[in-house]
Amino acid sequence: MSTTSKVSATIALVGNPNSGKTTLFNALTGENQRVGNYSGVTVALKSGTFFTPHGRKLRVLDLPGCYSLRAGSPDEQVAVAALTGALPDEPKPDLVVCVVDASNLERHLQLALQVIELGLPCLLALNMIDAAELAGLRLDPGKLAEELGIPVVPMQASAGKGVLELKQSLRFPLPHPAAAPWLDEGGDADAARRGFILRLCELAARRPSEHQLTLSDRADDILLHPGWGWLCFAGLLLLMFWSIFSLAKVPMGWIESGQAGLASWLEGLLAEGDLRSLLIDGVLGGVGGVLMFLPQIVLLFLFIGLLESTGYMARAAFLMDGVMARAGLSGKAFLPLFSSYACAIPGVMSARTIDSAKERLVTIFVAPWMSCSARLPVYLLMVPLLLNEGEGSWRQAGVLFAVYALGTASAFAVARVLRGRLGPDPNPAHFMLEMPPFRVPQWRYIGRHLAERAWSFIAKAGTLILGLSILLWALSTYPKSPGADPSAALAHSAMGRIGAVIEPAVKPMGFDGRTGTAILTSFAAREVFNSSMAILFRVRESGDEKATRGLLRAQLAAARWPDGRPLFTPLSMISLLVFYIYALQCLPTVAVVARETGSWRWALGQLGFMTAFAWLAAALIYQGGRLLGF
Amino acid sequence: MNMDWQTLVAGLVVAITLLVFLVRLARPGPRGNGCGSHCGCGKRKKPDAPARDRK
Repeated sequence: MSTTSKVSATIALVGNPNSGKTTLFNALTGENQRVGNYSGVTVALKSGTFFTPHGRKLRVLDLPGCYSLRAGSPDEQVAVAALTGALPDEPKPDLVVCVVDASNLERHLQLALQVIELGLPCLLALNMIDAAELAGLRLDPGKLAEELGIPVVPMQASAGKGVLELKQSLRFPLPHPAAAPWLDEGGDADAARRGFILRLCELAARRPSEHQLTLSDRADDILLHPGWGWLCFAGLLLLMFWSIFSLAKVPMGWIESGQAGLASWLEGLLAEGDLRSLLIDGVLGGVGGVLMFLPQIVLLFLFIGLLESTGYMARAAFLMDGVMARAGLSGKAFLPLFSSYACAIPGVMSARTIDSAKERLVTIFVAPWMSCSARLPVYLLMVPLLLNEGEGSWRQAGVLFAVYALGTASAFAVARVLRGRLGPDPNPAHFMLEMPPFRVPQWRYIGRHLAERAWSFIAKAGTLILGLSILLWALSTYPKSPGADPSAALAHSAMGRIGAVIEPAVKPMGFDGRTGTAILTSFAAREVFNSSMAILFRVRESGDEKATRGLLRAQLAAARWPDGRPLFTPLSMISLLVFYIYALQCLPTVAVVARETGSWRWALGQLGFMTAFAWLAAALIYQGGRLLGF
Repeated sequence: MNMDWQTLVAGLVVAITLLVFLVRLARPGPRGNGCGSHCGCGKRKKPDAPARDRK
């Protein structure tokens, strides 16, 4: 069999949101693009290549989901532009694969008919055939193909079933479809399509006469209940935060033991000197201070992946619609905001699914206040210190829950003010939410996704954080002071001098120059705060695991102002947590906001507002608390 | 002033790190899709050129 490396045709995957286009795309190309059991996961064009069983190399485009070719939101406009060849640098596709949910044909065929009307060679991928069979539908793919005049391939992309058959049917260029017969009747095109679909479903997709309640329907009775639904939602979130603290303890212990062993080995290998200090205090202290939170980051992504994959996200969006309305937003804004708990960047990009330009702008503006995973290491360092106890209690989970709730509530409050100032929409858009049935999580995808996230975190620790740790060590070591006192040596170093300059700006928040310097360095990446604190407070891994655990916390608890007052009081720690909830210390987010809004003014305004708000909120809490005698 | 070998090596490591940072900052060129690779956006691939000479 001869294969050619030249792409012979471009295929576009098109379909309603949550019809399984990206799952099919991943199955065809072997890629691992983000999927989820709710609408609006794909917001940008993605492309990949694959070979048919006969060696034909094809390029496949995964288009954002849309309900019709009358595009409303920016993601739908991308899909329509790609189909009509209106995208710059992107040729018109040679073939369109319409992906439809076989259990919901009446609605999904609306778009398929419009695509057939475009006259492009077309194929219908009858996806989620398992769900249709479970619902008791009697499907006749042959009849569907005959009536639509295009090939129909039944499949279950999530299990890889039917993917080979789809590839087989792409071995030859397909002919253009015949003229759409449903339009022959004249009159309104929408009504003609609806009539045709009803007749077609009677022939080829018959539903059982009685609707049977599925397990998913029964679960929804509880999960969408105005009272029980909220309880379940809060319980799930609390369980997630508790797991982050308690379940991660064991793997965190392994990482700490490894670091301690490495530090002991280096101490035995090298005599006292600068290189040993660089390796132990700088590299191990800095990188280790971040890397030890890897298990907790992985747990957070596991929970988010499970919520996305099972379909619970759509239920959460439904519950939140009323709350979002009070913030001047719709339930559609909930999904981008929830995505921002993992990272603000995909959250900001997901705002493309929102039809209203003003609502989209407001959603993008407040998204960075949904605490992202980069803030988690800082929270996980400070929360046990604040409560003055070891890791893993329900109290800590409660404080972490409150930290996330404060960011979310503040985001909603600012959204309400901002939405009011932007004024009403000329064309009000209504929130329409597709409630997908609950599905078994795609474990293979979740596993690959977690491995990818974990590797990215490790890679970041091994590159950016490693580099910054080395530079921070140098700044906190040189120039050297003649004496042996560590405090005097730090004050004499370049970092000590930078800290002295910064201190007046951070002192109102209750921080000294060292903490101020650590905050400054965390503008490169928030996790660097932990590395900087470990280096600036000279934390060394010890051979004893129990002594090592929380060593940085012990150092921080022992830190003093020059007058002997403790540096980290409950008040200053709350002030620090509040600063991290509100500060936008993520330059890639600023760049993506500028791109998505088309305005650097908006992005820089957001950066300025959030930094000023964080400073003011932290200073108010600290100064107010002191006035009240705390 | 005599510098011991540890100070020399540590200084060299710091200098190389600084150089890498400066080179990366100064280097012009594509910055990908502006979202890094740690946020699940993935890296943008160069698309394959579609063949226009279909038979």
